Amino acid sequence: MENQTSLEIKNISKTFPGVKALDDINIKAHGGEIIGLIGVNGAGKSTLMNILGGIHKPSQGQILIDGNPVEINSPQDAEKYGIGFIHQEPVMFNYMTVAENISLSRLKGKVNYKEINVIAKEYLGKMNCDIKPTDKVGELPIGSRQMVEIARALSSGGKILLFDEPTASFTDKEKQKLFEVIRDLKKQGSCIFFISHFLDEVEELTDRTIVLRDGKVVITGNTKDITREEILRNMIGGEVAQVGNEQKRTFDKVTMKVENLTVGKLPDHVSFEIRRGEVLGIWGLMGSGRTETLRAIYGIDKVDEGAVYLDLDDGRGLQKISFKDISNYCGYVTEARHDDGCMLPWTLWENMAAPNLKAYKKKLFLDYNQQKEDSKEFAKKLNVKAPSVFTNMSALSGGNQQKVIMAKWLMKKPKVFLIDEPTRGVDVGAKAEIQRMIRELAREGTSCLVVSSEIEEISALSDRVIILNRGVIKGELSREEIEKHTLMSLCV
Amino acid sequence: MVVNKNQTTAGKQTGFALLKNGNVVMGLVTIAAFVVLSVIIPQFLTVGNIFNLLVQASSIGIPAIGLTFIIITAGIDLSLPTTMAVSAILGCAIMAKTQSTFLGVVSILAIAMFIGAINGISVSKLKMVPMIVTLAVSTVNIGISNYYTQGKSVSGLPKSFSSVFAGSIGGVLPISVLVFALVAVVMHILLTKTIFGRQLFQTGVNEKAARVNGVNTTKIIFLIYFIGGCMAGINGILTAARLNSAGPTMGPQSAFNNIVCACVLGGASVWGGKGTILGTVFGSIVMALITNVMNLMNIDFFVTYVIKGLVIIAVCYLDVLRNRVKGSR
Amino acid sequence: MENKKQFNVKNFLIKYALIILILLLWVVYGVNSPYFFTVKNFKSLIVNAAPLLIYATGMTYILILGEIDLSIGSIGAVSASLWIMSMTEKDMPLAAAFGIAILTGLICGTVNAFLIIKLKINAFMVTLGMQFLLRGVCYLVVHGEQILTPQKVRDFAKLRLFTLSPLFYIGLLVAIIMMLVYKFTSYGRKVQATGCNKEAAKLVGVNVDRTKFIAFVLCGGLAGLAGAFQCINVGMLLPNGLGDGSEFLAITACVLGGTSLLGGVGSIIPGTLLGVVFYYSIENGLGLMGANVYVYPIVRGIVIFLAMVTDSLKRSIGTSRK
Repeated sequence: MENQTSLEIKNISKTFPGVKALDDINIKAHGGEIIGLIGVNGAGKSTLMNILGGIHKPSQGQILIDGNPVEINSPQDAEKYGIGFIHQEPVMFNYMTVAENISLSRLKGKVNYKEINVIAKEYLGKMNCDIKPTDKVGELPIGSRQMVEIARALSSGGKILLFDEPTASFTDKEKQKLFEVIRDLKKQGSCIFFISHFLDEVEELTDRTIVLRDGKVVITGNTKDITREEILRNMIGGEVAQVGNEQKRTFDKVTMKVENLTVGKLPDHVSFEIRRGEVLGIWGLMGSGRTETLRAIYGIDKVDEGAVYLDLDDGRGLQKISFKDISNYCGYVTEARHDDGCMLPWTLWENMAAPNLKAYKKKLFLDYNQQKEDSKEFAKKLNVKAPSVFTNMSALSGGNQQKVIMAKWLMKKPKVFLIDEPTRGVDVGAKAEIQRMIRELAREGTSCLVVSSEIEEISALSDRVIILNRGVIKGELSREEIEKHTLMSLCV
Repeated sequence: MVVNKNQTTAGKQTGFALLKNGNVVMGLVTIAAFVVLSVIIPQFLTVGNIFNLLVQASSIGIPAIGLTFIIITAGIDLSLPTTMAVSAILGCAIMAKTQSTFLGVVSILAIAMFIGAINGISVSKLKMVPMIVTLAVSTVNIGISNYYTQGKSVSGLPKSFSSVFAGSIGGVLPISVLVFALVAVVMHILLTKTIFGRQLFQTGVNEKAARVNGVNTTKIIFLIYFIGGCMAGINGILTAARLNSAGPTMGPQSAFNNIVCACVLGGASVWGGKGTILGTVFGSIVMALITNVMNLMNIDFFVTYVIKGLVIIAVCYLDVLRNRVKGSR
Repeated sequence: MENKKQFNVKNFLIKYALIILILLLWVVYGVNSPYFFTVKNFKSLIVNAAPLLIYATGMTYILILGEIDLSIGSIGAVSASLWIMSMTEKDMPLAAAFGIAILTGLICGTVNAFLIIKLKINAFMVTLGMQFLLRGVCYLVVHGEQILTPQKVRDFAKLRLFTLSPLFYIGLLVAIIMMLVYKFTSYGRKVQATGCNKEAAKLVGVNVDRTKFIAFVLCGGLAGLAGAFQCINVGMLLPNGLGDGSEFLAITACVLGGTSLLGGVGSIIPGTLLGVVFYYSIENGLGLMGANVYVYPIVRGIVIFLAMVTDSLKRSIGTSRK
């Protein structure tokens, strides 16, 4: 084992505007080793992998491969140095064949299909995969696509392989298959980084575990020597977040009932109730079906099975509401602000008025002055920091954009407020404000359904938490029982 | 940024901000062109020529107003001119048989709306690609027009038809210009002052976010193609009245190019989310102006093609530059 | 299990919808007209189809990239006008004239590519503008007059190799070469990769801009050749009619042949070739059956509409797999 691969990450830091994503990271790795990299969202795992993969450049520090300092400026550089990046969502060309996908980056001049098919077969064979090189990638199951991506990394001489949460959308069988492949690759001398949310996967597969928190390495050690307790404690941080110290509240009336909600596999027969003034947290990892549940309730995705009942305060109690009408009674803060949360090129008041147009209809026409007045009022109430409501949405910081989105739904006075990731990409100050706002809303009687991937947030906000894992409700905790470790252990 | 704001708000602006408004610039350029041209060409600034110009502008502008609604959602309707022709031909045939102007006019509108509805359902419900669907519909339109007339025109229309719809008020203001103005005002109000208009813009800016905001985007998309059909019908009535007949040549496929250019000159973006009626009206006047001036100056008509092409590319490039300034902020 | 099998039958039908439609159409025509299945008829069909085949071959590249080019008809007109002028005014030999036609097309394509890729203007608008502009240029070149093709062109068109016109061989050759380039060169593979997933293509090191640039230039060059061919078929140069609407016909032929307007999928042989043959057999058969000329577009429009329905079905299958 003299001339085996080695990778050294030396004093790497990475600063994004306003955030220190990585802070003086030092990691040494060598061939024939599987390193598990774990940490909560935002701990810096992906940033580190993106630096190795040539997608980001480090602000400081050095990377040494086989003892030589290298500069990785592009994915092609990474490939040149033998770094293969297996993305969470496979980077694939669906209408092209497996062999083409594997060899594409090396094609020059005339394409010799015989040759690339042989190459594909060779590398797929190394992994004991019986995928045909001539199949179209788009027709393969997702697990096989991941295999193709691994083959691509190997065929371009990859000795250092980065797996970024590869199992997120896998079936159990696909997962076992992948693990076998990874172990084989290790035997063949590859150096492997394995990123996962799932503790049991890391325990099962890796030799060494590195825990990242807030851009720093907090512990590192042989996987078999580290207890699950230790990992959890280090992932989350020493102190337990202050769960709001208000007294336990009681709730009477059920405002919304969700019954057997099913959309394909995510969510899978999900049922729950939410009461007036209650904050119900939905906790789950990526791929648990949390966002899909909200989308289904709100009527965006077509539901296979299930129903939603609402109490419209008209004395009739819970009524079944058809999915296309639910948006009339609910507000929905989406997970991806820029994707489907707001109209970025529009002004604040236009954004705030957009879902509430009916309220501003005077005879035939819209009353714009009233819209502007109301927007001003709500912008002030939610402490939106912007020159005026005539400012463009795109000119605001993430936190203020989020407040505007909250405001547009509050103007609607929703019965149930669905909030997906209330504070993602939001600075600390605005984060506290938004969380306080949600608690206040609940106290005033609005039912809130909150999804968050941050344990602190879920435990600070919720009166009750349901735990979702791969589309199924795994458990339910009351406010007193909410404890990080229980949450984590229920879903990892 | 500011340009965008102006186009989507009904807010008040003053001073310098006005200059950054695409419509205002377009208006100023048009006025400047009018002044310069009336100095250079003596025949230009006569009442007769100006109204002649506006009549030409109306036949581009009325369907262009319909297309503006469609372009705001990043869609396209290639069938507008041929829908005009086929609805005018079939409607005029009914008119010639019954000698009833009213019945004829109503059937022109009804047929055009029906074709608009077919486009609308195909794009909104069946999720077909707008360009090809409307092209296919357009091809069928051409076929029906030619088949029915055997390449000739439908004539023998009642006198009242052309005297009403191709007439003028006080012998000065042509009816088609008046209708153009009315349509523009109504559509401007629809686009800027109603829930429908706001929801249309939401669909165009960000369809996903619009759905989260509770907009029935399928319905909106259907309606705009339907409106496009209506506009083609109105244009069909006016054009048939002017010609006092209806034939397949009144709406060739190539007429679509003038229509889409009017929209783009008026600030509508083929990426969707932008467009104003006022801008489109200016755009259609400019398109008519280019032809009109070339006629007056006795310049070969094909030079107008070159000029129109250059104008389109230049305007789109300006749009790119504007967006680049926006992006760098 | 049974369900799965049914799904496959449906899949098969949709996948081969075009071939099935062509065969059906041919059977109908064959039954109704004894002349349909004659060598002579197929020969004339194929010769008529040559220009569209060349236009559509270039367009296939553009559509696979997820772009569009509305200027090819006008590029064809400009190229044909220079082609014909070079022979009537400068008395150039035929081969040199073809060289000029192709060169003109390449230059027009380069202008398109520059505006679209370097200046980042929307392809739809650029090529629409170029459609106007180049049509005007075509008139300028021929001074707005119709010009008969010179004798040497007509002699060339009368040449026969195994009883078939050279137009047929050249058209087919172009399609085959472009198909081979698409399937068997790294450039062709980059075209498809870019159309499939632009971001992923960048990640694996494809120069997306260069790939698109070359495609627009190529498409222009082919349009130049196709324009000259159209001129040969018509027997004269009509500055207003030559190539008018060819861009939409080419798009239609591509889409009929299974190329998606959203990019990533498509083929020249068999796809686009079948699309072109299909398109021409609609008209050819209707003609033999003695149908009214004015019925042609009605049938054509309805057929395109149906083909689009299968296209959207194809897409819905594609998404349900995801």
